[in-house]
Amino acid sequence: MLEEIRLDEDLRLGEPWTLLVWDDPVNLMTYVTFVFTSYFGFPRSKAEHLMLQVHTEGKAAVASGSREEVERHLEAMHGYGLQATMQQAG
Amino acid sequence: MKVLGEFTRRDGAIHRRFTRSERKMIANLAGGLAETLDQAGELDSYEDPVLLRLLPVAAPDDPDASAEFASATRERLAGGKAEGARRLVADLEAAPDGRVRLDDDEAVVWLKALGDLRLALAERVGFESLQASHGPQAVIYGWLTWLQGSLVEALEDRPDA
Repeated sequence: MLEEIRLDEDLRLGEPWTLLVWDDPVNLMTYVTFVFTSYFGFPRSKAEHLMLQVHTEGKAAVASGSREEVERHLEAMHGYGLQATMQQAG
Repeated sequence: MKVLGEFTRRDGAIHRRFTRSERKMIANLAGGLAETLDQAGELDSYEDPVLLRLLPVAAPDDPDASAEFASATRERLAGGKAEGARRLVADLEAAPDGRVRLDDDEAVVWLKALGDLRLALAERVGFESLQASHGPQAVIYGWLTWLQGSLVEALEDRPDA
């Protein structure tokens, strides 16, 4: 017996999530760079670039991925005391 | 307040000697912070600005995702921060003549805890007030800032870096 298969035309893979780090007056620039190199393993140049972006533009997108991945990074950033949030792209 | 020197790296570890008054001051601040964090389970972050800063809203545009993140992580994050604050106190109490010796992992625990103390102080007193004043809280904040910066430098000062 054939089952009727209905295709859900609206089904789509979840949009990726983005991790944002926001500027705050307390965290030291050297500390933020340290967090980006030691936690994410970014090369120093990339870590410093992102840190300066946070400092001058007020925020930077530091990572993206599935919700689970970004939540894991977000928990780590809050552990370091950085002002971080997540948002869904799109 | 008599202030001793920076953190220095030697013999594979990071060292600094703390005066009695420095130890007492950190113990007071860290003890208070740990107690605040112990209440994170009962208090909504919005009820305490320090908790709101240390355990921020995950996704301001998405209340559901924020609530799910908080229920999954809040207890663990608050517990980790309280443990870090108590670690500072315990390490200072155990330090012979105030001489603290930290390996890199221990130094990162210190780095986070010193940062949390600064964030809490700035939230309680107000960052602008701390910048504008020369009062005791501003002096303590300035000293903690210098101390944390010194610890970052010592951590970065690795032969393989």
